[in-house]
Amino acid sequence: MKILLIDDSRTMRNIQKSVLTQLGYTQVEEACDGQDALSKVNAYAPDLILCDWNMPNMDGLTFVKTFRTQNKTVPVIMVTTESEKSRVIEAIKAGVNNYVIKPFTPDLLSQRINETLTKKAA
Amino acid sequence: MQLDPELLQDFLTESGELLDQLDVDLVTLEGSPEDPELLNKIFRALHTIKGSASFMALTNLVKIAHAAESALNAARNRVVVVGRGEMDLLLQAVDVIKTQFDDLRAARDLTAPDENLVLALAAIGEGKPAPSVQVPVRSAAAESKTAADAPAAKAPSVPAQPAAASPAAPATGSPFDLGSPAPAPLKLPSSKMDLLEFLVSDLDDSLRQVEQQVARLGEAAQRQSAAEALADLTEALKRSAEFFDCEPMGKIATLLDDLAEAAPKLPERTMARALSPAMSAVEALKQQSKALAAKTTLNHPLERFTEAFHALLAETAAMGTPAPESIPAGEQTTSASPSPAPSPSAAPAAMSPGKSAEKSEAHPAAGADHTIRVEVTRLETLLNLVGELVLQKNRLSALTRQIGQQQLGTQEFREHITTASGGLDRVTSDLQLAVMRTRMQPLDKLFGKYPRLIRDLARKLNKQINLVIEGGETEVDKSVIEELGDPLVHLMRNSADHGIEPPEQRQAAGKPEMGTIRLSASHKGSHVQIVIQDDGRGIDKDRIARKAIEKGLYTEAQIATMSEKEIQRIIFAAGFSTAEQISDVSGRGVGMDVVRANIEKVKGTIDLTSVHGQGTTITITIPLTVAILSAMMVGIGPETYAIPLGSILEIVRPTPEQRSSIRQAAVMRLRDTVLPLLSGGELFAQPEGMKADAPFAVVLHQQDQRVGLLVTSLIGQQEVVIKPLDESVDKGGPVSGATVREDGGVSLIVDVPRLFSIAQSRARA
Repeated sequence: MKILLIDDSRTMRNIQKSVLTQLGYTQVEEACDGQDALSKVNAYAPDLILCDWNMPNMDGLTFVKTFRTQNKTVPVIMVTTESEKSRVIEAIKAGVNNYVIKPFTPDLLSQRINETLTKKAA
Repeated sequence: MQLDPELLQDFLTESGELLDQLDVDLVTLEGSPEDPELLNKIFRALHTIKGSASFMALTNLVKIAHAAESALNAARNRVVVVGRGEMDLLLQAVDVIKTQFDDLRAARDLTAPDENLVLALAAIGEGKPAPSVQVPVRSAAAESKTAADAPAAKAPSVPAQPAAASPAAPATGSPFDLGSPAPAPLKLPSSKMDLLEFLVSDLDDSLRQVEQQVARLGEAAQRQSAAEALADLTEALKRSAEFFDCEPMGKIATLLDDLAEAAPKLPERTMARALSPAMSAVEALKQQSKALAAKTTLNHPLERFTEAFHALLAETAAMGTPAPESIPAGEQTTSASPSPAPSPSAAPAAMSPGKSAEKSEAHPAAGADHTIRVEVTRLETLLNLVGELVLQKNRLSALTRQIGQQQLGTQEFREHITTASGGLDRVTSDLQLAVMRTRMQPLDKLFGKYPRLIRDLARKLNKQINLVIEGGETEVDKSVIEELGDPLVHLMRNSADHGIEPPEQRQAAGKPEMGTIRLSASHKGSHVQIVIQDDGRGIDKDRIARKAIEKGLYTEAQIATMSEKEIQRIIFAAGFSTAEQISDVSGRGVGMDVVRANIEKVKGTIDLTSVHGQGTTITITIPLTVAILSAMMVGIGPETYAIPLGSILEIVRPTPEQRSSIRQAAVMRLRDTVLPLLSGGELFAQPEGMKADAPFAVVLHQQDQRVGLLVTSLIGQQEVVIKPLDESVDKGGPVSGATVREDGGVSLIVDVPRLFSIAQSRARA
């Protein structure tokens, strides 16, 4: 199970990575913005993408839009803040499969990941 | 006649809009006379007008509206097909209603409709088609008489064939009826449930767009772009549907997606027939959206719909022209097998197309709650106040800069005042923009009138003209719309009358018989560009040159030095008109110079390119708003003037060697060109002695012409609020308005087009 983690903050990446490790996902590749992610995503071929919304260079929404033009299947979970919630629909329309609001507990993230993967498998 | 003025005003506004739309829709209908959606729409509009009119006891209006309505009802029920003759009558009815509206506005008694017209329309209503004889347009009385006499004679010869399909019977069993299934509770994890309200509001918006794009699919010229837009929308819908586990919604979105994919290749007739089911699908999506708002889902029965819809989309050009009778026939066979209604609520009555049409109408009405009508004067006041605010803000900014430069007060104080001033600046800009937006109106308001105009012209001139309108949704300031009306009508008439050739000539020239006029609008930065393009005969430069010499506008020697484009531009010169014979179509004594003047009044420019034999393109560029202007402030003598920034090409400081004169007219050499120089001091009548020293030349441009204006000093760039000057103010030189400066003083705004005409007349002298 390979996960691509996209976030511009190193702290946030480390926190999310440790949560993912706790959940047993150890294969995690990091990208610091949408552009970086686009350059890595094909070579890395992740099974799941966790993507932050607000990032420099290329934000999460733009990344998803671009990514979806080349790949329609790999599930993407958007990591958002409470205040971005009203815009989540935009992300869904762009092709995001699920979302999780920061800050999240390991349980919550685990639940969302399972939800997403189960639905994808169905 | 005594009517509540407020009520009357409402009626005139609302029904006036319906009436304008009627013109457009009727002309569209002529192209696809069996489009059920369109027929319904036109019928509803007339019905609404009639309803309100009867409420106000406007008998004469009710009479004609009723007659037209019953004629349309017959068309809607497929008792008659709207041909040319019927269309002429319907358009005449609309004209009568328009006259009556004018009467109402002028508080006159309503003009009584021509009895013969009413009778002829009523005859159509009874299933007797009007004769499709060639009749002159707009000679209402004469025409309606022939029409009224004819139906009686002609009616028996044309059997009301589709009537056999019992028009009144609702097509309950149509495969394209999605009914109204019963809602089932929606099951979603709470994280998704949380987003539901956002989804619903997004859906409202998206579905409105979907509806628009589906409607645009009906127009051949817009089909490609509509299909692309629709595909994007349905893709997003499918994703939303998947996220919210709303399977039926996904399926319907997929159907519309299929339509978007197939549309560009569909034969015209099939496309017209696909529109109605597509609208039903959109309607079903709207129901889905409503259900979601109530945390329920609807399971629309889609099997038959999908099958029939796909069959329709699979039609190719060869098979896409079934006789119209086959439609009702198909409905009859399907209605024989009872539709698998999923719930008792899907009773036949609830499934009739009429009902669903009413429902789709109810939707925009619900949206009407989001708009209010405001008197224009209030908006004017608001805009004026914002203008004042901008001036005060400019003054405050100037003071703030002064405080900074002179280090007044403490450091902290200076920082605070800079922040406050910056904040005010931002808010004022936003406010200005917001108020400006309230005054914006889509160009469709103007463009909507042209299909009818061109249709009537084409019939009158015996030409075939296809009018393509694009970008009608582009918005510009209300005042700009008002000023543009006449020039655009003039240009459209010109294109139809002088541009497009008669079919025989076109054929001889190897062009399609049908000429095309393309009217398009788009945003270009802070400007809007309107392009009128025809594929007609173009402008004959030799003829223009001959006329110009004949009329004494130019000498032969002058013409010899002019480029083709310059010669073509002569048509904009005052007193020039080439129409060999004055026709009542476009030679009404109003020349292209008036068109140009009108456009320049709103600070716009007009340009023209024409290839002889291939067509003419006229490009009009107008600012989004006329109230606020980016300007360069310059000093001329002791006074400060504002020059529109958009007209400035560059500013140079000419050396004495660069300046010289040709036949007493001052000129300046700039790189490898020579341009006329105008002295600001002289133009703006500065007192003697103040004129002398003018080191800077502001190079102004208008299309491909350039001129230098000598000024004393350069002050800087500023947003200025234009205050109109009284018409009588003419003494101070070529100025178009005034403005209040940052320091509170008043400056005049330089009228660039006038400068150019001054420079031109000097060159000619």
